[in-house]
Amino acid sequence: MALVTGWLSALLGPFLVLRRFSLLADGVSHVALAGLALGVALGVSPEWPGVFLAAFGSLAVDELRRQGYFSDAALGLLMATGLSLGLLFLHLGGRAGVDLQAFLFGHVLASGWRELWLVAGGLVLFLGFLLLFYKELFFVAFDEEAASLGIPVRLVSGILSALAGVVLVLAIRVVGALLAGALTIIPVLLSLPSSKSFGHLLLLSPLASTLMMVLGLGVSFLLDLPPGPSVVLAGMALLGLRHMVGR
Amino acid sequence: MPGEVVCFEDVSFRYHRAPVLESISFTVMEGEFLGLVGPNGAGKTTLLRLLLGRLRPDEGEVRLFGEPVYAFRSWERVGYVPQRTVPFERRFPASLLEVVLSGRAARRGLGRRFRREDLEAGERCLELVGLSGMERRLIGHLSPGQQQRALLARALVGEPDLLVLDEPVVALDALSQHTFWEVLRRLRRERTLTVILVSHDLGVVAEEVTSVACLNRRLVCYGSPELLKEGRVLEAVYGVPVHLLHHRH
Repeated sequence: MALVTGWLSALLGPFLVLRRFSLLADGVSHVALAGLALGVALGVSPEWPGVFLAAFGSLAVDELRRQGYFSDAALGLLMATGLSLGLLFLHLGGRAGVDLQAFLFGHVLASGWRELWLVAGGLVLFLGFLLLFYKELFFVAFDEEAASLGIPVRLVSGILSALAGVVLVLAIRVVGALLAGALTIIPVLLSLPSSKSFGHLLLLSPLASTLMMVLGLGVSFLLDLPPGPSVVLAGMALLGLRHMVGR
Repeated sequence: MPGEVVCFEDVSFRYHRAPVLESISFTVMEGEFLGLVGPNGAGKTTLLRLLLGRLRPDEGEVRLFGEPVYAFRSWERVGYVPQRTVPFERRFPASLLEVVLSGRAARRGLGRRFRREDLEAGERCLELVGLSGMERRLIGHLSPGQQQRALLARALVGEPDLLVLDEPVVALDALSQHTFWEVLRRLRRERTLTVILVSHDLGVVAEEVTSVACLNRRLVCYGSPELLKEGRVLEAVYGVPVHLLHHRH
């Protein structure tokens, strides 16, 4: 499940990183946390409120950006509000102690078949969207202004934003809300130096994610460390190594 | 008989109640090469945005190929080279061919994959702009002049009937400008293409275009490029005496 979630995040990553929306993933994952916590507090399956709020948050930020209101401050506000709401919902649901660690830092080892089916479904959905609208997604990522002539940018960007919400909710299960953004960013940064085209980047990014996951989870298992931070730090180590090798 | 391509009919536009364009009326016919000139803040970019459907006029109507812009759907008929003052991010992993082909997306249709004919169109356009053989180079690794020609190829690959160029040679050195104008001349010899060009280089505009529109919130004049050689016209447009230096690239 961690691998598939990593692939999803790595496929989403280029569309965020290259449009300079890297922090958006962090912002939306914080909002997703609020949704997940709401689901727990209400005693329902947390994924659906999580996905709904994450997709809504992602769409809202995209629209604010388009209207010229997007700024670092707005994103910071989104992150703080999402985290605060999440903690509040958990507290109100009487589950603050139980679930907080899991939501903040991930709980992939507690995943079962249900979660695996969710992730697999998410992968199929995202891949289908990517294959169907690849040329539109590329154009919007590269030059949104020029793309708006003839391509329904709002529609394409909106669907991508909504799917980003889905991906980030799934990523929270693996590495937690505080680190979910890293799953979208690190594989892209690892793959960029070797990418000869955008399509090439979309192939390399999931491979980089696989390496990061295997290394991180392996270290986590061997040294009995939390899996989420282990995966992210493995990614950072690979980045450092790549930087040194690339010199 | 040439048909109407662009028509501005008594168009006015305001930004937060401040007038930007007032009572603009002109028609661009098929095959025309219109130069749009005027000082900074004259409303040239706003006029282009109205033309491309990104803004709606407060008064009047803008028509493209006889249809109101707000109802126009055949955007594959319009090629657009936006103004760029900075080169593309060097590390953006987009190959030259990917960038050029993206201009074909509207013509191919939403959700449809590119075909062999699209690739061939991309290669033809690269040859036209003198970038043949560089298909796999990253766009960020090209010189600013090459990048601008790549954007021109992207605008042309959809086989447009109207080409809109917004300050296409700004920030380019003299050689790159020369190459760009050469490509444009060759293009106009080989195709029936209507072109609207926004440029500050009055000297080049006076030599290259077939008609000129001088804008300073209002349409000061519209007609032959010979108008640019009249000092009183330029003074009316820019508010100060302007001496035109005739030159070609």
